[in-house]
Amino acid sequence: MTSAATPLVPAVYYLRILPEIVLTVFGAVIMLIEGPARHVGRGRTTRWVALVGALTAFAAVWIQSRHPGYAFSHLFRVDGFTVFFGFLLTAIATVIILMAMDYLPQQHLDRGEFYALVLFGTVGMGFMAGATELILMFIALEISSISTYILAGYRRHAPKSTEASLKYLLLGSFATAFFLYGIALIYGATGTTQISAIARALAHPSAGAAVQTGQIVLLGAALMFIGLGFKVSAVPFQVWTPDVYEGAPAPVTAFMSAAPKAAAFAIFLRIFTVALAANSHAWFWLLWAAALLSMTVGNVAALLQNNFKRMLAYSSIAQAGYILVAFAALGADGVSAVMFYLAAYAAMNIGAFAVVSHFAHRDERYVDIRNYAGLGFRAPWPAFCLSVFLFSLIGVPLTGGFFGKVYIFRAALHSHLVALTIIGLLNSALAAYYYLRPVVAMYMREAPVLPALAPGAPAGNIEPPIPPTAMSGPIAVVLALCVAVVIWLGVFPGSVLAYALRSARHLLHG
Amino acid sequence: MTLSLHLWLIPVLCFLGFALNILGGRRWPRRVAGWIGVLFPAAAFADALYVASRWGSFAVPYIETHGAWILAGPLSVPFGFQLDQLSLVMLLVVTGVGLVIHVYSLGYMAHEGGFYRFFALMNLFLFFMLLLVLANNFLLMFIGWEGVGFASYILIGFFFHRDSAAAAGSKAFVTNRIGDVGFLIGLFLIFQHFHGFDFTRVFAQVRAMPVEHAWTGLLTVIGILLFIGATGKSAQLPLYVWLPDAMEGPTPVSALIHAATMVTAGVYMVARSAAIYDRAPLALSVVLAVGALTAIFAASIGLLQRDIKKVLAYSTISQLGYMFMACGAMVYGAGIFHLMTHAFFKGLLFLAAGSAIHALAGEQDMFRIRERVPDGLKKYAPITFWTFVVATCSIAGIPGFAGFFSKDKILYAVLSGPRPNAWWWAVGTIAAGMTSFYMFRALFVTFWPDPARRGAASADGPVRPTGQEPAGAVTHAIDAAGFGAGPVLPQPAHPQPHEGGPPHEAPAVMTIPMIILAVLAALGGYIGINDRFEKFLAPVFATGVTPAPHAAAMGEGAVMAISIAVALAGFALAWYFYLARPEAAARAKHALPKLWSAIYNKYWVDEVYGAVFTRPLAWFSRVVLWRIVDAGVIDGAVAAVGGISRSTGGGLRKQISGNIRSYAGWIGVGAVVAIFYMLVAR
Amino acid sequence: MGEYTIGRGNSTREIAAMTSTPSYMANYLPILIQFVLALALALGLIVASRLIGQRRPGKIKLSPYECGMTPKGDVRSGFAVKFYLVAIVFILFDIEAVFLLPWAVEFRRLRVLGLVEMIVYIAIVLAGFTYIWKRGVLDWNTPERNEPTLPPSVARTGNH
Repeated sequence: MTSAATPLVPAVYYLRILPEIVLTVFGAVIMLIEGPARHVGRGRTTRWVALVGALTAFAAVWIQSRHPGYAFSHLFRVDGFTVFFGFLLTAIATVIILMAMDYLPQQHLDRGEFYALVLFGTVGMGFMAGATELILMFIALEISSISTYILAGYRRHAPKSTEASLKYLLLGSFATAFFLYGIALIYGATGTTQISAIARALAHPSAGAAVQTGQIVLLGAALMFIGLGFKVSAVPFQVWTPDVYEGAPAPVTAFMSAAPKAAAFAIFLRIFTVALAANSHAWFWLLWAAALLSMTVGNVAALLQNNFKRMLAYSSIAQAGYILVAFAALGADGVSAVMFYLAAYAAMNIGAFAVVSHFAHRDERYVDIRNYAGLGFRAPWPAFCLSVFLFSLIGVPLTGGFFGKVYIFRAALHSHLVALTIIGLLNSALAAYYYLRPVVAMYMREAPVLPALAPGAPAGNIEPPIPPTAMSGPIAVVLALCVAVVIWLGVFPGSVLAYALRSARHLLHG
Repeated sequence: MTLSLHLWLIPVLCFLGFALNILGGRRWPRRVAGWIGVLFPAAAFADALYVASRWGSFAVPYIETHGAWILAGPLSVPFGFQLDQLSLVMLLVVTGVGLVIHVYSLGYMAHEGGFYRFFALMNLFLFFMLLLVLANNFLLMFIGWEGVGFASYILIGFFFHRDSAAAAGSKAFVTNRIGDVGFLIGLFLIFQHFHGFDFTRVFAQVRAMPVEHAWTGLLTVIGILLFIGATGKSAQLPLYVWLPDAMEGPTPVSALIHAATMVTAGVYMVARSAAIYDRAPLALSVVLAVGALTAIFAASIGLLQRDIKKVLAYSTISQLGYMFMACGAMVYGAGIFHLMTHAFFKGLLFLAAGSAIHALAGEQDMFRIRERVPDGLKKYAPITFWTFVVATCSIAGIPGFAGFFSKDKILYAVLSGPRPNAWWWAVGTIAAGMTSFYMFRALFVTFWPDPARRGAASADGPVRPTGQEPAGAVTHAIDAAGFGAGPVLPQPAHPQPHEGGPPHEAPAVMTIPMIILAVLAALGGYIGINDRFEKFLAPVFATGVTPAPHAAAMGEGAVMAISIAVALAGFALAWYFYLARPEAAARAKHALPKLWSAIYNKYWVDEVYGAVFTRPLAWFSRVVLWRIVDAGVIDGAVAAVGGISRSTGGGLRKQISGNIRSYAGWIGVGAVVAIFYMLVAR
Repeated sequence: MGEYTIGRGNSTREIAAMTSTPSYMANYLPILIQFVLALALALGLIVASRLIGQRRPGKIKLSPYECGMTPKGDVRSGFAVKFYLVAIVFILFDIEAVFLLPWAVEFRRLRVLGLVEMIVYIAIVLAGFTYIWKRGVLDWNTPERNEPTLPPSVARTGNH
């Protein structure tokens, strides 16, 4: 098959996976620096290495985008879709590294492995975004998952964190098994694991195709749906989310809620809207039900949460529901709405977690919404940023969340998903209630006056207010970036939306 | 187009005021913050006047666009502003009344904390409101629409550190968003069928469509959906519940946002979409019915409220109902006319009520005001009193005052306009009588001496020391609890200097705005003589639908006579019950205890909503999703925090694995359902 | 251009043709038979022992370990975590070494490219190896470095 004239692996293939190469190299370098380190606190060098690595990878995505096409035997493809997610994921990694610079020293966890794991995880997600072959998707999914499993337990002296890690690992493996089994069945039915080849095989079944193979494809689709539904925390596969989000260190939660979710949606989209497009009538209702349940369960369960991280966990389930609505709308409109929303969601959610992470203090003591009482007056800037993020999550105009929702529901209604649109919009009305709670706490409550207590003594029923905290440089950068992106997407959504639309067309029409 | 009006400048001016104050206001002295907060709206008003002065030198509608705002595939929305007769009226009302109320706030808020923030947010509100009325497309209008809701939310809640204010803000926000569900879906439908959001583009296509007579017609559906949005923002049945609670906000906020401008956005939007409604008679019937029912429903609740601001709130809801009645009767011009006069007299009522409240250190219960000032507040605050009288006459429909002209036009139009309906006219007329009654009741109770102790009052001196009588003591206790005393934190806003001393008239910075509005509330109606106002607006509402002509059921003179009679009857009844024979009011209460209790408790609507919507949701959230789906989690988390499981590693292990098993069980159930569906049930 | 398909090498059309025949699923029949047989055997043995075997439980018979002495304490005593770590590391490197095998088979055809790729591959593996080595995972006797001492209960919960 290989002619002598063309090299087996053209050099451009390496350019097409340049971001992943860059991330791997920097990750390995960090491991080599970190290995011989003897003291906690060596993160000081490694974090800068990691930051440079993530930024270089971001730049590498640009180089990657100049070389569209397949790489490595149709395993990987660079197109607008890949590049969109490449930018998104490397940007998220950068922001998370900045966040960790503030958080890890505060928690006395400042070790280089954290940064290496973030980079390695991003490698996996980058491959997820561009993979056009099921086995590579699976391996990439595992690379990203294993990193997040470890990161979730990074506060390993905190029982909650190890609990989170263990739960995530066990349930994640459970779900991954579904995904893998789905791949096997699709392969069995079509004889290929390549997305485009599967699409061709399913679109033109030979006359009188056996019923069994049809059933096998459907079963495979259902199993892959379960595996991916777990990764994007769609109901009813969301059960792990609150515990893991609550237990994991705040920057990791931010990371998990944005990056792996985005990457999982990328393969979700590639598999279902491209490979299994011919069967959309079959899996459509699964998507529909998952969207409806995710929105409703997420929002209703979030109503009464007091733990900020747990509330945001339920909120992220609900947000996954909105994204699934756009997904169910199908077509370039729906796919681009998914992409736009993922970008806006990443900015606002990471921003919110950045504030939570900043104020968490040692051992994440202050993660209750009631801790935030009066914060608006003691820490005006972070409180203002948090309000912007929360209002964006509600979907107030001039924030990215608003246009994200507008595009989602417009696409949904365009595809005649009337019930889903109405329920989704009602849900977003309901959601305002719990997103407003921290705002109310910050601006309309006074910090309770605590009786003098010995340090470390339990404060009884009163949630202590967050003590004054100095803003560090990196967290300020994170907040400024996230606010800027949220507002930018809310005021000038055009360019990103146009780009998402073009990418969606790439994805759907080759 | 050679002439450029630079309409964008008007909202941007207000935004600048907001930006300056929010960024630097904390560091500047109050005076500077106040001046910035007032000067920028003043500049916006001046610009609006300039624009109005150039009327005739540009083609109407005048449209200016500023590049592509959103350009993505099928979605193309420019940043565009539009000026026509309708937006000019709205522009002048918003900036004019807005400016007046800003000036008033200089005095009213003088002792409050967060002075600069108040003005910043008021300016922000004006910015969004101007965006709303000047937008040339539905999307930009919706941004303004949501923006005013947002500004209203923070203004309701930001200055009052009390739970009720925070709750009221959240309630307003959430209720409005429920209405917005309808609005948004309507917008999506518009986009889907007319491929754009521009008013010109959409309405040009609508004009080519026939009149619909089925519930399922596109325009009917769009009309109803948009109206659902309007019921949220303009506080109509069944989403009106947030407005009375919104009275927790400072009184200038109530005047500007919850009376004069924001709540009328729904009316503006319906009038703006006249082309759609004219072709959807069923949607018009819905608008008319909801408007009329709201008018009488809210007016009846207003009959027995004790809190003066609550009376005004229900009155606002009721008056908005009138405006929707006009829209539903296809006489949008009359609706907008009433919108304008209402902005004058209701803005004034709030300002005067605020002045009275201010004079009595935050007392809002008008019966307690009377107890505190047994010889009548009118003696101590004459300007407040007289302006309140003017506004009351105006809203009650006393001939010659502005409210009389606009309300009468609406009632006449409902009876014999393009869509005549005698029943709704009767409802509207009865509601007008109720309006007259509750407004004069408020006037008499708040400002007149207590008729029950006319003799005692003169003997006791002007103000009873509050500690000496039970009612006063209660008042005092409630004040101390932060209920009626206005902003309690960071320091008591009205540090009770008036307690014991006589109540006082407000400073000039507050009375002059009231006088200006009083002049408008008295004379503003004459602009509409000979239908001049409606003729001016007519081009906007010329939508190409001409209803079949029909004979008027009654002459305008007869309708007017009935209106006047009803208004005077309301006045007379209020006078009888609250000035002449106060014991008759008590007798009436005992004669109809059930009715009295139903009205006094606002028909238990809040309670019903709580039982039907809020509590089941909370129950579902707490019991089903927490206890069942989430079961182990909470206990696990709590135990982990308490260190119970830490001491016994095995305990934690067991719990975690237990959780994991049940979690895996949930995932497994989901998986089985998904697979079953795919293979069998499909 | 130098692409080769992932999969069995059958074109999709062949697969489609194959799957369309009713006998397609019959290909899997032997697996099903084996599965059923295995299940039957396992169940059969259990059932048979129940049916045929005599049960006369006595106090001594029911005591654990019919022969020898009664055990003291928990039978499942903890292992050192290190044991697992070393085992995992062993498996990892073992599997990574397996990748050398296909390279050796195709060595000639892959030429320099293959050599370079393999060097990169081994470099990555070695980087990981250096890390665990420096981390002291392989030092069986010394306690793990850089670890603040923890109360034993926390250490246990942190490592299961």
